[in-house]
Amino acid sequence: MSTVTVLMPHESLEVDGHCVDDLVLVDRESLHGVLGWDLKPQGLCRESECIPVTEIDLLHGDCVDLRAAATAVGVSSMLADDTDLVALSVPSQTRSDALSGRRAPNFVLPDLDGEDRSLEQFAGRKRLLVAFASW
Amino acid sequence: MVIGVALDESADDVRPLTEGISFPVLLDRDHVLAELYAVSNVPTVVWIDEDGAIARPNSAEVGTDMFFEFTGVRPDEHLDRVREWVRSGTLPADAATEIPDLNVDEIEARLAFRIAVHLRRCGEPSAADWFATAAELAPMDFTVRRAAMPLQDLSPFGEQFFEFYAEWKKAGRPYHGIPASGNEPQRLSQRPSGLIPDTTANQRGRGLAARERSELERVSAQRTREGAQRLKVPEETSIGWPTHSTSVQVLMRLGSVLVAQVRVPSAKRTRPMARVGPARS
Repeated sequence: MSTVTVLMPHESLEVDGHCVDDLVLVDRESLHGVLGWDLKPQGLCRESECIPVTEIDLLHGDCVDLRAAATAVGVSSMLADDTDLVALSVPSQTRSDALSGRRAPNFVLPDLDGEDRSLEQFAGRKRLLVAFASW
Repeated sequence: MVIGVALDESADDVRPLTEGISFPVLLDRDHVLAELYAVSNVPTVVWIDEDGAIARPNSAEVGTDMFFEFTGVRPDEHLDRVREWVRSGTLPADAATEIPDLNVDEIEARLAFRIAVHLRRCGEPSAADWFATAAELAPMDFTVRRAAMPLQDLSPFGEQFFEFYAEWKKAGRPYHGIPASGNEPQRLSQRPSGLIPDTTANQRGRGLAARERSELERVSAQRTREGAQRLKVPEETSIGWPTHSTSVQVLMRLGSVLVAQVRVPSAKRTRPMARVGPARS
């Protein structure tokens, strides 16, 4: 099986898989590694939570349709099919928690020296998050 | 405290802007914040309280008066509000503003942008197509359109930017957040005389007023000179645009405000509160 590059919000992953037309087909292990959800007879499951989907709809032989699974858990995707590259968004729920629910979603980003920092590590203090740019 | 997050490709582009800054400055090459917080332009400031709740959502704030004639935004009101929040927890009325979610096109534009920057890092010429796709999907989004300019060897103060800026103004300055206070029409009368209300160009759809543009170009040139001096490189070899940034100034101003305010008054205030309040773990 060839590999597909999955561009996640925080990282990019190389997973075993292949693209067929608009589909990105991966094995079950890769599905878990990318989305954090598992395909089970009762649906897409994560810990005790399950989203009902018909297992057979997502299965293509032994492979799972990654983009359809992503859609089911609120993750948008875009495929650059000529390069076997697929980009996945953050779950829509995470952003609506921020915008409607007023919960500041955590993120992990490197500082200018390459050391990872997170929003949460500064919890307990009032924080001004300032998005800026050189452009 | 302030946490700066640069939506930039390279730490080297950011470092010249953050000299003397002691708070954390993070690098967001893939525009995670543009997705997580629906950031659509910089600078965008989000107030987050001790418990991780968003106290005041995305807002367009600046650090100095330098670009006032261009943006119509002054920093002082925001800084005063920040001081008040830090001191007493009081929030301004606009803190309750709800920021609309990204629409499907805006989400897909971010994905296309992410594909574009990835391909660019791999040296793939097809990156250009994906930057174009992203711009078509979210033509009014600075994190998509303007951020792509330096990545395609275009100056973010070049002709393409002015065209984009005129389009954006004509469209009513769309922004995912509380608009810059100076851009509210009812505030125009409070401006000192002699300044151009930017609604004139807006309403007539004429694009960028000539005077605004010349002012911006003047200030840009000045900033380039200053940046070149600071970087100790000859002016003509400086790529110029990193030093144009207004947004970094918000970092510096906010940083000094918060350091000054947090250290002194909050330490004094906590003692009486601790006496009357419930025991804290």
